[in-house]
Amino acid sequence: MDELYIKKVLNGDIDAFRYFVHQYKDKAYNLAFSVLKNEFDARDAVQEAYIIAFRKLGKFRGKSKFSTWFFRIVINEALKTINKKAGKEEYIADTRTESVDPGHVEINDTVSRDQQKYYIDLAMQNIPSKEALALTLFYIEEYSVEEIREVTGWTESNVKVLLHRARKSMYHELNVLLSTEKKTLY
Amino acid sequence: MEKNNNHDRFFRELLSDSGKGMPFSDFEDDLMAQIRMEHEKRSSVKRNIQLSWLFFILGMLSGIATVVALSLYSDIKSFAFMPNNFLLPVIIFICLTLILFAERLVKISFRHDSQL
Repeated sequence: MDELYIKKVLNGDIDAFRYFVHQYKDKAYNLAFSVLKNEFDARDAVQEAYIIAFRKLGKFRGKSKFSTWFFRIVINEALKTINKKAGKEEYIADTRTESVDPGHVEINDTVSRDQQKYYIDLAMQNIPSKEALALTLFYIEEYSVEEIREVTGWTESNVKVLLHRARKSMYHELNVLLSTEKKTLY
Repeated sequence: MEKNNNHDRFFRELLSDSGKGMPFSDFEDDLMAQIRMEHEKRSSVKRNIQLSWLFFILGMLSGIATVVALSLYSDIKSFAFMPNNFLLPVIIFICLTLILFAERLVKISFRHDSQL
């Protein structure tokens, strides 16, 4: 389906590009948001990525899926925005990486679904951008390690390390958030 | 291995509701308006490049025609007042200008073609 619309756009049917906007805007936004953690910055990054994709559509050779190619542009734009804004990404110190098992985060039993979503979003906002991106790609978009490697340009071992660190960070953040919540309630 | 699977299952459940989706309802229309502007910009650049080629070739042809016409119909002695070494730098200057313009045009044309 993507190939058909690519041909249409390349033949001058500009409105055919709306298909790509409609099809991929939500996923693109999720990726950009996981990196940038700000709605407006994420929107701007996705917008810029779409314009770049439109400009360079003639260069797309179809070696990978359009979505892979496009999401790579989105991620690059998001990382570029981060670099522009803050110089370098700040990683949280290693003290948070003490081993925490899934059993210790009993989020489902203690809070409602809305609260659960709130805490997860908050935790995702508190972990470093690349880790949040790895989690989004692996668990939300359900990409394989190989696909993540293609989309991000990271090495396979890098992806695995980031996923490992991201899981630890999430456990830590959720524990902190939930313990703070318990303290305020009791 | 099993521990990893537990982690994965836990996280899959945990993050299943976490996808947000674009919250700006006007995003699609805004973006398409920008894309149309971008396309118009590209079209006008393409037109300008075509015009540049046209005038470049016209200029070159009229230059050649002038030289041929001068050699055929005018008295060559009318250039006799010029010093002998005057024409060479002029010819070199014209050739260099021609090559530089042609190179720039080719570059711009290729750059434009590699995009949409």
